[in-house]
Amino acid sequence: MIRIVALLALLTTTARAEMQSPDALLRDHLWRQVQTLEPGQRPRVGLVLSAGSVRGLAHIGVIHVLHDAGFPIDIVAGTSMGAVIGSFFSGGYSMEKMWSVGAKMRMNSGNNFSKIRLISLILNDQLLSSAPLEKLLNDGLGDRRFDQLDKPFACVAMDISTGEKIIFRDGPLAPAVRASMNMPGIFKPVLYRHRYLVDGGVVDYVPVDAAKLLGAEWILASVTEGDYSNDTPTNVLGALEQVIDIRGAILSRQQRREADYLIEPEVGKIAYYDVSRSVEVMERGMRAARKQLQGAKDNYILRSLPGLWSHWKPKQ
Amino acid sequence: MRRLTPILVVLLAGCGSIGRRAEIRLRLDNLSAEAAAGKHVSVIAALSGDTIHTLQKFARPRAYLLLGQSLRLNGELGKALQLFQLAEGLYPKNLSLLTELASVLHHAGLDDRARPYYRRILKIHPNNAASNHGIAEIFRSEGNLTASKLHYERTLSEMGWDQNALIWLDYGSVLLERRDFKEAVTALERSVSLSKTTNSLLALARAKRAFGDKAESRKHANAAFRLDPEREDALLQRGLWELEDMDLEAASATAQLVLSTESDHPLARWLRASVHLRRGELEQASADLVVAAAAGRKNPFIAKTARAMLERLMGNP
Repeated sequence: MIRIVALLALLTTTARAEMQSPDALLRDHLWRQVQTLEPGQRPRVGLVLSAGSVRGLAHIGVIHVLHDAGFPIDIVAGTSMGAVIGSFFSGGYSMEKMWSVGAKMRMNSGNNFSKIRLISLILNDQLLSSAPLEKLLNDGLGDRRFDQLDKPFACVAMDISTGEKIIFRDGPLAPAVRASMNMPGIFKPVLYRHRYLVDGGVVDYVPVDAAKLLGAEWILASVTEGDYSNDTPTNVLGALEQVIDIRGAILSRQQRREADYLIEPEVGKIAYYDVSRSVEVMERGMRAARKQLQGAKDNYILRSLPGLWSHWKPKQ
Repeated sequence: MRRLTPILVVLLAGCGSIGRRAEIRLRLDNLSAEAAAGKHVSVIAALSGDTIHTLQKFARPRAYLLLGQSLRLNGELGKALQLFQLAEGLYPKNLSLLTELASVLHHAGLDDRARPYYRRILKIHPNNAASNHGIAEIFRSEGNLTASKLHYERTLSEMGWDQNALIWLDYGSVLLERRDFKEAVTALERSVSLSKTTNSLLALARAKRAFGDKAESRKHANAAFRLDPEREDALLQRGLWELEDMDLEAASATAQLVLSTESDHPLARWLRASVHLRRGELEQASADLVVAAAAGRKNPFIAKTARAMLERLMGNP
C-alpha cells in the first residue's frame, strides 16, 4: 500500500528546473541589502489604504503579502475601511488576527445596523450610529492614542459643515477612525473636536497627502475602487455609495499619480455591503499584491540606490 | 448429480469471472509499473481508443486514471483534461479521478477551476495528499503563504509523500519566502537528504544565509555548482554572495569565469563593476556598467540598475 501511495506521489509531482534569471538574482541580492538600511538611508515607505467599504478588506491581503516579503513599511495612512485596516496594522495586529477580523466582518460590525433601524432610517430620517466601531477598535487596540501605535498612522474624515478634509494624526485613535468610516446619509455625523465629521472617502479617497504629511518619501497605494460603469443603483443606499464611489474615482485620479506604486485588487464588481465575500476579497488582495510585488520591489530598490551607493563606494 | 449440475455450472462461471478479473488486475498492475517507469507512450497506446470500454466495469475507473495520468505526464494536457472530465461525469464520487481532474486543471493554469475540485475532495477527505499538494501550490502562486504552508504540511504528513524531495523543496521554499528561516533550513535539509539536486542545494544555501550561517551557505552553493557546472545561475549566485561578504577576489574570479564564456553577460559585468567600484577603480567600473546597461529587454532590471549607477558615477544622481 505504501508503495502505491509513494508511486502516486511521484506521479503527481513533476521535476521542475527552476533556474533563476539574472534579473531575479540581482533583485534578490539588492533587496536583502535594502532591507538592512535604516529609514533615512532609504526612502521612508508610506502604505496608503483607500476607502472602499467591503472592497477595502482587500487591503488585508495586500498587507499580508507585503509582510511576508519583508517589505519595509514605515508609515500608514488610510481612509474609511482603509483607516480601520490601517489602524489595526499600525497597532500591531498580527496577520492572522487581521485575517480573522476580516473573515468575521458582518453588516452590523461597528454599527447598530438592523432591519428595523434601516426601515426607521428610510421612514423617519433617523440615521444609524457608528458608535460601536469605537468599542470594536478599543477592544482590539486598547483605547490607544495615535502616538502609542507601533507605526506612525493618519486617517482622514470630512467636516460636513465646511467640506474640509481633516487629517487625524494625534489624539485618541478610535473616534478619529470612526469618523473616517462614517458613511454620510446612513450614519449620524460624529461630533469630535467641535466638528461634525463624516467618511473621508468623500474628500480623500486615496490619502497619499496624509502619508506625505507624516514623512513618507515613497508611497505604495492599495486602491479598491468600485466599478460603477455598468451598475444602476436600485435603492437609496446603493445610490449614495455610487455617488461616493464616483466622486472617489474622480479624486483618486490625481492621487494615483502622486503614488510611486499602485496595487489595485480586482474587487470593483463586489458590492460595498457584500460581507459574505469578505474572504474572497482578501484573497483577491493577496493575488494582486503577489502579481505586483516584483514591480514594487524593483521600483523601491532603484529609489534606494543612493542609500546603497554610500556603502559601495570606498571611503575617501 | 443432476441437481448439482446447475450449481457446478454457476461455480465454474464464477471461477471464470474471477480468473478474468485477476487477469485484468494483473494487466493494469503491469501498466501501472510501466507508468511508474516513465513509459507513458506505451500506457497510452495500451489504453487508447475503445480499450477501456471492453474492460469489466470494476476496472474502468482505474484504467481512466492510468491513461489520464500518462497523458498528463506525456505533456498531452488537453487530452488528459477531456478524459478526466468524461470520467468525472461517469464516476462523480471517485476521489482519485476528481483529484486528477483538479491536478490537470491546475497544471494547465486553470487554478480558478481546479480550486473548487480540490476543496470538494478535501471536504470529504481532509488528508487527501494530492489535493493538499495541489491547493498548496495554488495558494503559493497566489501569495497566500500561510495557507500554502498548512497544506504542504498536511501533504508531507502522509506516508509515501514524506519521501518526496521535490515537495520538501517546495515546502522549504515557501517557508523561506515567509521568512521562517529555521524551519526552512530543516525542510530543505530533508529535501537534500532525500535527493541532492542543484535546486535543493541552492535553496538550502539561501536558507542558511538568511539564517545567518554564511560559511555553510557558501559550502552548499559550491556543492550545487559542482553538481552541475553548467548552471550559470548557481555560479552567479555564489559570486553575489562573495561580493556581499566582501570577498572581492573571489567575486571577481567568479565574474571572470562567466565572462570567459559570455563576455557581455550583464550580471557578470554588473558583478565585476561592483568589485571595481568597491576598490575605487571607477573607470573600469564604468566600462562594465555600460555593457550591463545595454542588457535592455532581456534583463531590464539589471539595465536600469546599471544605468542608475552610471549616472551616479558621472556625478549626476
